[in-house]
Amino acid sequence: MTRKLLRNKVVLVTTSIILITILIGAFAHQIAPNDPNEASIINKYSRSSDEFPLGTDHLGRCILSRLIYGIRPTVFLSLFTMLCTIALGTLIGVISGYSIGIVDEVIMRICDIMLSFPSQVMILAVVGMLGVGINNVIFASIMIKWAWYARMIRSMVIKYNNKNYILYSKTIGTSRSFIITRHMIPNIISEVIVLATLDMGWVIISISTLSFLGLGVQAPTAEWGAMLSEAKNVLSTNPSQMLAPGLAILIIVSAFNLLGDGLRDVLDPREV
Amino acid sequence: MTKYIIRRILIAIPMMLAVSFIAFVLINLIPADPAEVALRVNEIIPTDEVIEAMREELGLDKPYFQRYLSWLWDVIRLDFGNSYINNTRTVYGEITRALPATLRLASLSLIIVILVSFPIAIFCAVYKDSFFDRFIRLLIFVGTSIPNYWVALLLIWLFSLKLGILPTSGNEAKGSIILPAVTLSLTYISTYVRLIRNNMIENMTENYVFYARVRGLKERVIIIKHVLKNSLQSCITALGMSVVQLLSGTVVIENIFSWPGIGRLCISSIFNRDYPIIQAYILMMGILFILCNLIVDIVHHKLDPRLHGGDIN
Amino acid sequence: MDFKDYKDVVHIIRDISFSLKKNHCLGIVGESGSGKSITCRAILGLLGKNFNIEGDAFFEGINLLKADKRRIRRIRGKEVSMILQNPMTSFDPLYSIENQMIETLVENLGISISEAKPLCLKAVEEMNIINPKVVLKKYPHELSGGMLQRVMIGIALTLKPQIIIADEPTTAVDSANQIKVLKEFANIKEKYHTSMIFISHDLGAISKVADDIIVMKDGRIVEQGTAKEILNSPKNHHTKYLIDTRKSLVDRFNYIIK
Repeated sequence: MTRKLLRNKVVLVTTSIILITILIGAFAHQIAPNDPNEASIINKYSRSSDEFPLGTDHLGRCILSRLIYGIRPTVFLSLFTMLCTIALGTLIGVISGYSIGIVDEVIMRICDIMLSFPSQVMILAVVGMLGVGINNVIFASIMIKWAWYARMIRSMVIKYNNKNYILYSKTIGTSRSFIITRHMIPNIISEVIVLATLDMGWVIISISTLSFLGLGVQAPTAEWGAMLSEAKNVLSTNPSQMLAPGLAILIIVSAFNLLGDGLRDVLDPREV
Repeated sequence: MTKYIIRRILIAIPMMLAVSFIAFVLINLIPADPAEVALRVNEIIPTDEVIEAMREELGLDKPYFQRYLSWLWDVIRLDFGNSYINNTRTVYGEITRALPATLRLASLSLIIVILVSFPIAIFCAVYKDSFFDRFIRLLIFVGTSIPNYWVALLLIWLFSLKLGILPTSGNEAKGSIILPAVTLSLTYISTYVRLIRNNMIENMTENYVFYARVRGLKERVIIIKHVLKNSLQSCITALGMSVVQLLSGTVVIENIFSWPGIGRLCISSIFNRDYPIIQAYILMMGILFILCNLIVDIVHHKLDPRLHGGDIN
Repeated sequence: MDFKDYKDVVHIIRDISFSLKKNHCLGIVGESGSGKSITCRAILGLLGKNFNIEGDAFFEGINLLKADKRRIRRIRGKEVSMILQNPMTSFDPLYSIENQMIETLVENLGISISEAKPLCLKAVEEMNIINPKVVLKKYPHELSGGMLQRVMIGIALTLKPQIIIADEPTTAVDSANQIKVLKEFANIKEKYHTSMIFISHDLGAISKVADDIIVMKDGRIVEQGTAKEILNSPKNHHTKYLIDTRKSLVDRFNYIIK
C-alpha cells in the first residue's frame, strides 16, 4: 500500500507541498525574515526587496512573514478542526453503530437535525450567539461537521460488521476486539482519510472566509483570510496586495483536494 | 401520490419544530444575560432594577418551555420581536426590507448557473475527454479550490477598477447586480457542471441508451430526452439543495459588494449582538432548507414513475 | 448481401466473412466472449470510438463500415432492427412503453404521433400480449422481462425492416417464456419474410430457427454451413463439442423428467 502511494505522482507532489507548508509554519519563527506584526509607516506598500521579499502591506508589515505566520491559524487550525471533527464523529458513530435500539435512534435523530441546517448558516448561528472569535469559529465548524462523520462511520461499522470476512472470523471464534482492530479499523481509516482530506480544503476555505468577514481571527494576527480582508480595503489603490494570500489559499486547498482524489484512486480503485 | 405528499409534509412538521427549537435554544446559549445585552446596546446602565424590568419585558422570568411556546406562537404570527439596536424597528420589518435585494441577487445567480452550467455539462459529457472537456475539468477543479471572496476581489479589480465598466458595490448604480451575481454563481456552476457531467457519462453507458441507438433515434434526442432527464432525476436532490446554499452563500458576497440584503444584515447583527435578528435569520434559513427538501422530494417522486408505480391502473 | 469484416489493434475479432441471404435466418453460435454480438454491433456502427474496425459490410450496395453516421442511423432501426438480450434494462425507466414505441415509429417511419398510436397497439396485440392497452401505458419497471422482450420484438416488426438481428433474445427470459419467444421468431420467418441474424450461445435455440449457422470461437469463424450440415455432420471439433454438451444436457434433462 505504501509503495503504491509513493508511486502515485499526484499523491507524492501534493503530500510534499502540504508537509513543506506545515514545516514552514512550524518553524515560522526561524524562517520568516521579519516580525509579522512590526509596522513601519515609512515602509508601507514597498516593493519586493531583499529585506521584504514580497513587499509590505498598508502598515509596512512584511507580507512574506505574515504569509508564513499565517500558516499557523489558516492551516494548523483547520487541521485541528478536522482532527477534532473526526475524533468526535468516529466516537459517536462507533457508539451508534454498535448500540442497537434507542441509543442509536436518538443519536441518528440528533444527526438528522444537525444536518437539516445548511452548514454556513449553522456556523453563523453559533458564532452569532457565542460571539466573534476564532475559538468560536472552530467550535462551530466542529459542531456542524461531526454529525456528518458520525453518520458515515455508523453506516461503515454496520456495513463491515455484515461483511463476509468478518462474519467468517466471527464463526471461527476470533475475539471481538481482534475483529475490530484487525479488520474494521483499517478499513474505516482508509475511507475516513480520503474523505477528511477532501474536506480539509472546505474547512480551510470556510475558516478563512469567516476571518475574511471579521468573524474569526482578529487583527493584527496574520491569517490569510484576514490578510485578504485588509487587502480589500486598499483594493483601489494597491490591488497587488490581494495576490499573495489568495494564491496561498488556492495552492494549499488545491493540494488537499488533489491529494484526496489521489488517495481515493489508490485506496479505493473501483470508485473511479 | 397524494398520500406520499401528505406523509412527506407530516414528516416536515416535526423537523420544523426541531429547527425552531434550536433557534430558540441558541439565543439562550449566549454567555451574557440577554436582558443585559439589550440594555447595553442601547447604552442604558444596567442596574438591577432596569435589568429586572427588561427581563420581564422580554419574558425571561417565565419557565423555559413556556417561553418557547409563547415565542413559537409569536413566530407563527411572524412576530419576531424588536431589534435590540433599533428598539423602534421590528425584526420582521428589518428582514422584509433586506429580503428583496437578496432574492433578486440569488435568483439572478440561479438563472446564470442554469443557463451556463447545463450547456457546458452536456457538451462535456457528449465530447468526453475532448480538449474542451479537459479544459472545463481544470476550471472546475480551480473553481472548487478557490475561495469565492478572492474571486470577488479579482473580479472587482478587473471589471471595476481596471476596465471601469461595472460599479464596485452598492445596488443603486446600473449593472451593480452583475458582479455579485456572477461571483455567487461561479462556485455553483462548477458544482452543477461536475454533477451533471458525471451523471450523464454514467447514464450513457446504460443499456437503455444503447437500445435507443439501436432504435435509430437521433443522438440529440437520446442525449436530451433520455440521458439528460435521467441524470437530472438522479441529481435533483443535490440541485434542489443548492437553492438554499445559494441563499446562504449570499452572506459573503453581500458583504464584499455592500449589497443591502439579509446576508449583510446577518453579519452586521452578529457584530452588533442583535440577537433577535440572528435568531430570525437562522430560523428562516432552517425552515427554507426543510421546505426546499420537501419540494425536491415531491418533485422527485412525481417525475420518477418507479416511485409511484401502483397508481396508474 | 455480403458481410465481411475483420478487426485489429486488440484483435477481438479477425478475418470474418459471411453473408446473409434474403428471407433466410442466419444463426451465429458460440460461447460468451466469442465475438458474436460485437460483430453485429460493429456492422451497425454501435461500437464506441475505442474500437478500430477495418473491413467492409455491404447492405444493399452501401458499405456500412465506411458510410457516414447519419446514413447508418437511418438504416439502423428502419432497415436493420435489433432485439437485445436484456429487455429489463433496455427501456428508459422514465417514459412509458407507449412513449418509447411512438418515438421509435415517428423517427423511423416518418409518421405523426396520432398515426403511430394505432400501430403501437397493433404491434403489442400481435405479440399476444393480454390487455395491450394497459400494457402500453405501463412503465418498464412494471413489466416482466418476457413481456418487454415481446414489446421489443413488436417494435422491430412494426418497423418492417429488411433484417432483424436478435442478440441472445432468450437468455434473460425464463424457460417457459423462452419457448414462447422462440415461437415468435419462427412466426416472424413465416409471416414477415424478413431476413434474420439470430445470435445465441444456445445451439438448441438456434436449431429451431436458423437456416444457416456460423460457429464462432475466440473471434474467429470455425465452421459455417447450412443448419442441417452443421447439426448433423459437424466437421470442426468445437462444433462437435457444442453439440455434445447440448445433447448431454438434453439427455440428462429427459432422464430426470422421466
